[in-house]
Amino acid sequence: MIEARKALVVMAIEKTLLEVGRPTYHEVLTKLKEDYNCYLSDCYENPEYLSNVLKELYGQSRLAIIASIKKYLDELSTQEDIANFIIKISE
Amino acid sequence: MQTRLEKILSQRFLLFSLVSTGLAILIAEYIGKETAIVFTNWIFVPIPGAMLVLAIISAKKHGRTGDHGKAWIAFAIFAASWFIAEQVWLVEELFYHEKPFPSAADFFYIVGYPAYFIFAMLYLKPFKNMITKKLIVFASLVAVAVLIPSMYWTLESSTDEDQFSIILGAVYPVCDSIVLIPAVIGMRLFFGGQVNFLWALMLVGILVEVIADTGFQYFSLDDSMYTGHPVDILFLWSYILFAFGIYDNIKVFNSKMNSYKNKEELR
Repeated sequence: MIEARKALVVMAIEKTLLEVGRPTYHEVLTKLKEDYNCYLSDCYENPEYLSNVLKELYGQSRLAIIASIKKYLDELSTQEDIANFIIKISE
Repeated sequence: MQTRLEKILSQRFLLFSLVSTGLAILIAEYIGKETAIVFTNWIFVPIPGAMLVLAIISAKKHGRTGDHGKAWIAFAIFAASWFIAEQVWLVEELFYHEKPFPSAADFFYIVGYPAYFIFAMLYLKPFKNMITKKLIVFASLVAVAVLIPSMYWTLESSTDEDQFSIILGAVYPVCDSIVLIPAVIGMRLFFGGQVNFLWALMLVGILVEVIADTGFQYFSLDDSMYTGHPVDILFLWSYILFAFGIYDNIKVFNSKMNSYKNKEELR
């Protein structure tokens, strides 16, 4: 079950980043790997990594991207782990 | 990621480009009006050309996916439109020996503005949640503050020109002010982020363009405006600022994805 929710989180992040643009998506993936040695799927446990990478690129406007990810996960926000992910990524 | 040293060096190169372009025009002007006309017309080939090439590279890199992909296509259209305008100007003046203002070049300059505006709108679209009414009002006030003196000088000083030239001359500061709004928003929005440098240069580039357009109209009053006039330095500077902004953005998104054999592994 956790794996399924993890996959949904990754999908929400991917969809949001690709909506911005493919280079943004690639840059985020690369920065996650280089700065934190982690993959997109690891952002489920470490949402702050994604938040930091987005901040480095877009400054405070990263919150708009985070809001979009949250929107995709809206229906699952009652699940505790998803709710925690949303809280952590918004910090 | 771009290191601090690379960033400083890139800005030094930008400064060098601005100073050397300005000096080159002033030297040509010092040699003589004829030299200035020929030199300046030809320098408007490589500089807007560089902006066009960088815009195409950026558009190609982004592809058609996502809002930023579409945004860079719009920017490439803007760059192409202004590049064509500069070449029409050159042909009109150097080959047909016609007065290049007003001319077909104006059509391409004006067509460029909506393309630039679309670029800005699409670039800012993913961040629309962060664009508050307060920010829009602030950006609009900046645009109006820039437009008022520009329009005053444009209209006040155009008494000797024909009606069409006066209207055409007034269209430019209005268009500049409109595209200034998203530039101010972008600058404020991405403060602290790496893409901020692009928007800072876009903003300064448009401000320089406003001054140049006002100056162009002002000096056209007594027929003292000609290609190679120091006002042209400002037009060239705006192209250089745009080009460096795009270059920086290309570098920001120059991810080393290709160094990873299996891209799927990064997911």
